Amino acid sequence: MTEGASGNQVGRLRKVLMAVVADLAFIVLDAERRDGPVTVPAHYWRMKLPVAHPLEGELLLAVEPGLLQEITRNIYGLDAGQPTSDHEMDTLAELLNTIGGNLMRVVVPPTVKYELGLPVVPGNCETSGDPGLSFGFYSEEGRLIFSIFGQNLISEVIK
Amino acid sequence: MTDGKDTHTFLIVDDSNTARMIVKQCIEIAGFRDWTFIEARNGEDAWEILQHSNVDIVITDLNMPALDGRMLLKRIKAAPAVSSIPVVVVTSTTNPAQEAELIGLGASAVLGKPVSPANVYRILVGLKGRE
Repeated sequence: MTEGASGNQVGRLRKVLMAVVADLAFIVLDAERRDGPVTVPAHYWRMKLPVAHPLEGELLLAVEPGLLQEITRNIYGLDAGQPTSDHEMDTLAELLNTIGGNLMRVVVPPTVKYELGLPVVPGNCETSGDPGLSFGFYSEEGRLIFSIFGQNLISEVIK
Repeated sequence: MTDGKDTHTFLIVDDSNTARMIVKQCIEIAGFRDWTFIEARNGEDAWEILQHSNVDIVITDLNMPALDGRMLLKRIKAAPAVSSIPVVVVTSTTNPAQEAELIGLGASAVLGKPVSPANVYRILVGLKGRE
């Protein structure tokens, strides 16, 4: 992550992100990062969340289909059943909403209220993000499985 | 909650089916298995339900379409017929400033996402203690 964000802040953001996914979805993400930009395959599930105040921008979450299915099964308590795509999209939206709120709690001072919009499915396969707020998590085989990007969220405020 | 009624009812308000299901599971794990649940997808639907159902506790998300949790909270606290019902706000955007505003509007408690059975238990036992 980042030009503009301190190493401590980046570490805190990463820990918050991992803790939310573990608490909500019972999935432990590998913290290992790769050098260079995160590239998301076109078939990954995506959801976008507007950040309305005090920053103006968006968070974009992209998750590998197999991992999203596992997360949805975990949350809904389906041992071997197949979650519906509606359940998967709803889970993705709730995951992003929870991640977004918790990430902003790190970024925004405690005396300032912050607001998020409603999650929406992005209209295209955009995956570019601010250099100051982009995370990619990978499988043991090195395959990207989970990523989140800040878009138009000025990295200066992350200091 | 200790008023001698045979059944007690939570009204869970969230536009996300996943979020409603998580809150419901946490409540049950926290030990409130004999309570019944009514679900609503937004504040407008919740308000309609409150007009004709006996609800003991409202647990509402903040960020919803139609009528959001903040407006629902204000509407409940301004209506004498339902203003005594405790309202717990569940939100991912909780911080001290947000919490102070919601408590000022009449919320009984603010619960941060992700919700856990332990946090739900702490809040609900706290509400019982206030009776």
